[in-house]
Amino acid sequence: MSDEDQKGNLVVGEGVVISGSISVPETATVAGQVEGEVSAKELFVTDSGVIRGKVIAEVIDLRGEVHDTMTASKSLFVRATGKALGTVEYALIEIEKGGDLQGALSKFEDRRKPDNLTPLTIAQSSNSKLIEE
Amino acid sequence: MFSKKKKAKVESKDNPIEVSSSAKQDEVDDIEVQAPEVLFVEDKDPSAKTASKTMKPSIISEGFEFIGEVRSQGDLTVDGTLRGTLSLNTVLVGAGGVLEGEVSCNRMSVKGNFSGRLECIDLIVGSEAVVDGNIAFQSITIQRGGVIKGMLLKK
Repeated sequence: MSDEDQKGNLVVGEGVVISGSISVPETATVAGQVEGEVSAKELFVTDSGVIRGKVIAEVIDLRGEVHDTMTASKSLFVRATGKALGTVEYALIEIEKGGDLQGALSKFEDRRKPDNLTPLTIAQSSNSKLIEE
Repeated sequence: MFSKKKKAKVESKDNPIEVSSSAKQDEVDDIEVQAPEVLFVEDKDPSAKTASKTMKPSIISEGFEFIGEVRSQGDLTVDGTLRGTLSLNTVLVGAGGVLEGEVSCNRMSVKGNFSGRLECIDLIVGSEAVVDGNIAFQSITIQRGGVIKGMLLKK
């Protein structure tokens, strides 16, 4: 994340514990602990980051842990240290060896009106088309 | 007994896909059709049981459909269609391959289509693969674009 432009961004530092519902218009970086709902355009969960609750983002880059429900309307990256437990929905997925993914997996389809925080763009639908082919 | 054992002694088994087309032909010729529902191969060489390290990969070639049970200590490449129960060391589903059923293996690499129940140690899902079903694994790798649906369980 660029230092100069922090508009719309959130960083939860290591050791920080937040509970509640968070909506981030741009990029959320979680190195601490979040209990509750998180929605963002891009979500980075670092090695030390833990989220317990519902997560919705276009792009999720997971090096830490997410428990419960996770929806990536564009892409989901589970890195080697990443751990996703629960219900996972994605449009495009990549898991590095060592990455942990457990639970029910399904492909994201634009079937419901998402929260006003995660507007779906045209890029998303063309993306999923690519995969179908 | 539905058993599928292949002749031993092959120098490289790391790249079953690289096996020459003549070798593929041999594999296909080995398979005897015994019944319309279940196909199986006689165990011609019992010593192959102990030769898993040097076992030649078996191949279900493109356009070849196999329904039944496969058991081997060796490797299997599926470029055609295979429906049934499999117990193997390594399973590779090629880009056009379709595999349906219950699979238990050490390593599984899917570039084509898999549906059913899978129990394995290492699972690799290629970028154009579609995997659907109940999957128990120890380690999983999904290349970008690979599609995976169903229940996942880490052992």
